[in-house]
Amino acid sequence: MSRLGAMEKELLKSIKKKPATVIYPFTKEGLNIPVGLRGRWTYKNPDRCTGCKICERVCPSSAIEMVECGPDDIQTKTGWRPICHFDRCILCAQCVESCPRSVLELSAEFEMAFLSRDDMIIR
Amino acid sequence: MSTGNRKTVTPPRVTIPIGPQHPALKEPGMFKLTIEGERIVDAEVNIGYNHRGIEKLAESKTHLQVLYLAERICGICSATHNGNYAQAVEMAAEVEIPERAKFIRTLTWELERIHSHILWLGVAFHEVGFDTAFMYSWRDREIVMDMLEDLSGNRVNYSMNTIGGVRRNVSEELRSSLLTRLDKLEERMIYYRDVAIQEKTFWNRVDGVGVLETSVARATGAVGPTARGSNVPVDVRFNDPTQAYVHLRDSGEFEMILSERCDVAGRAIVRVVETIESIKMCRWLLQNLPDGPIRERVRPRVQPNEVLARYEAPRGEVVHYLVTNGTDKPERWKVRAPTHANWVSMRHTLIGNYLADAPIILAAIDPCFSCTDRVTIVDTDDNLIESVPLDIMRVRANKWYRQNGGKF
Amino acid sequence: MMQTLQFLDILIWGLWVLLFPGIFFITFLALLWEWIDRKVYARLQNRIGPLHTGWQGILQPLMDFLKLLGKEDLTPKRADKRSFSAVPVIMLVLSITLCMFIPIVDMDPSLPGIQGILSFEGDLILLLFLSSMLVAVIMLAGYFSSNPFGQVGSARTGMLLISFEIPLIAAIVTPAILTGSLRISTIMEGLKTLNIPYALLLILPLVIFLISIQAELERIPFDVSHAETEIVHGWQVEFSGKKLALIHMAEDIMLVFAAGITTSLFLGGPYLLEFIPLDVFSVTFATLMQTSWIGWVYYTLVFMFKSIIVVMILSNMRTAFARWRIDQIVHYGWKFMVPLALVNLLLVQLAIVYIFPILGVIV
Repeated sequence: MSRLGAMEKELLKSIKKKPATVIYPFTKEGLNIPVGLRGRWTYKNPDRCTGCKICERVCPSSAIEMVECGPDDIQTKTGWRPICHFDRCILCAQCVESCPRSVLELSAEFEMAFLSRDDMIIR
Repeated sequence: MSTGNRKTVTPPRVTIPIGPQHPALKEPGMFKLTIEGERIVDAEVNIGYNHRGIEKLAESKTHLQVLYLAERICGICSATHNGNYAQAVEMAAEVEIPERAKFIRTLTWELERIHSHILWLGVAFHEVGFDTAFMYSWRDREIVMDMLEDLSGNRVNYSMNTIGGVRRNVSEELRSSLLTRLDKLEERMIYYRDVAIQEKTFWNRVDGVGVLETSVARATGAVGPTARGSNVPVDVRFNDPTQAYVHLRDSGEFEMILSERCDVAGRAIVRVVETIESIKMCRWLLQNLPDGPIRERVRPRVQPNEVLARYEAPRGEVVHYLVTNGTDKPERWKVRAPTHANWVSMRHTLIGNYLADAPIILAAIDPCFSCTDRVTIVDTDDNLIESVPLDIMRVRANKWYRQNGGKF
Repeated sequence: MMQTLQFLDILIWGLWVLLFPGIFFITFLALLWEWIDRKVYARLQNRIGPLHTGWQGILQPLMDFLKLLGKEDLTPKRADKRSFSAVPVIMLVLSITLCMFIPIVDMDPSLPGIQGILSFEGDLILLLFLSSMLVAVIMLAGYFSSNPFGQVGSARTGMLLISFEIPLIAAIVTPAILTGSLRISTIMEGLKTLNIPYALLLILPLVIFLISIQAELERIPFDVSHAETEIVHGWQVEFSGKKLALIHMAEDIMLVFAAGITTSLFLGGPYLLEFIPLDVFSVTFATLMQTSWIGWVYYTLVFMFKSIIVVMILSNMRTAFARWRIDQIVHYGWKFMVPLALVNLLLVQLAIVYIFPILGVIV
């Protein structure tokens, strides 16, 4: 039933095979990034925002904060717009789903390391 | 020669702690093993290092937000808790979700079972020093991880379920690509069943080790593959099916995997064969996927109700007990993770085995410490432990900071 | 004039010991073998292995060694401090001394054949003694660290070695019986002229030797004394920094020794083309190699080639198996390996004394 060196054939076969290792930080080859990846939080249509604050309310980790629109920003109806404290974001995409005017989106960008917390606030 | 005063020399009893930090344990937990020579004569299981207060936190969040919190109870069975909470809320709100949503939810669950069982297989190989098979099995696990990523958009926390259905649909091309990848996965799993776990050095390490007799497994209430490896037929998917498992059971093509071996090898065989069965289930689900909507609108406020949602997680039966009170927040939510039920039999399985077998016996129930630690029990009669009320603790802390000059 | 000659002699001899077949070369081989071992191990597991330091990561073992040298060195409070710090040094010295016996190039042109730096009649016995002493040092290392894991590890090392020293010695003695000498260089020289039926007798001891040396090196499936999932690297658990670096180096050098001794005693040492039964090779080529400096390069390369084959076989063994429990190892050691080794000795004796003379085969 059980025998010594049962996997030997498979081992010798794998010498000829291409290694399964992905040399990731140097090349992104073989990473299989899917179409619907939930990556970095971004604005899809910022000009359509009405400032309704639904995204802030549904966020499970209170990552989204509503701030008053500055002079350079897009002016919303209520005068408030969402910003994301990305260090708290858990990438659940509930805000994207709940937004009635599809203002927000989670992009395909997945390399999300920053040196300071201030860099992680997405304005 | 006198045979009168013959003395039997027994090795001294030594207590060896395994944990809280030990390379065999992936998460903190403590096992005090009393050994005579290399044999374990007594064992004590101490858990509770990972209490995170999730249930209390959930009471301050809406049902929709608790979904994402529940998902983070466990990294490996995240769809389990996520889906089971959604199921619990739907039961409380008394809504029926569309058929297609049921199928997709079940598909996620089954894919998760495949990945969890392959992960366990790799860990088991690693615990007995068979690193080659560990590398191979985790390489093949990537196939199912990629499938889950394509299906849900994330590798670990799938967030596939929402209250009233699922969040993502399965497109036609995704369906065919999943089917081809399932074939490849099945071929690999059959290889593990027929070759890899039959390697003699591995088999010697699991054969007859950590025996849990059927009667003891029943008496201690073991669940999941641990119980099925001891020939106890408990599997919520067949005993009390929900979602699309009803259709799976009614199709009659699938059966509960049981083993009469009662040892670690039995649990290993159950898991490997169950993975193949899961692959077949996934294929059936994909082939018979009904058309229609994938979600139903459920009002955020759920009427007062009290429900118990059960689901067969990869490690065994998981129970979510939910009390709703008419608001959009849960009144009380209790999670019984499968590992919790399996700890009870752990002492019995450890006693009588070699110390070198302790890691593989511990790993054989596929322990998930964070899932388990819902509550910390403190024995106040024990003189070593002091129970301090919060206000006294605050006074002490202030005193310490005054003396040591901390900034606060 | 005499004095200068003597001084030059000592200088050249010192250079040999320090540089070419000596310490530097052995260390170089140790790092190279470790790289090959890791690379083969990884390739068999369908991985890549070391990749970024040097060509295909060839400098990775060296980098690991250097980095470990620079790490903080801690000695546990309860350890026996002086003995504890002596262990790595003794291990390194012993393993390098062991490697000095391996014949790589001709160190004494006055004698026929190829000698190691150290070579005298009966050096095989000393070699076995030294390798057993290394094990004793390992056991002491565990006890000196006064850590429960370390002590369990050294107890397991002791049990392991009790079971596998006997087959190892029985296997190593077979070529000595066949050639009638206890000197490694003479054995090697004798193997060169051995008839094919006699050479066939070496196959079984070679297998026994490879399995036992795997146990001696404490590699999978015999790595119970390390067993990182059970006893956290066993006797090594308290060693850190420089001490651990030296221990790792000593282990790598032991791999060189294992591969080298297998090459010398079973695979015919650094001879390759000489085995072709044509006068061009077995006489002309052999003489050329023995008399000129090309021989040094040729012998070294052949030695390395054969050693690499042995290292690859050992790595393959490391890949194909899981770790056995200590009682299973002792069980298989005494129930299978020891009888097999004794049967092998019996077979060799029978063959030499009775069977071969009847068949008309002579040395």
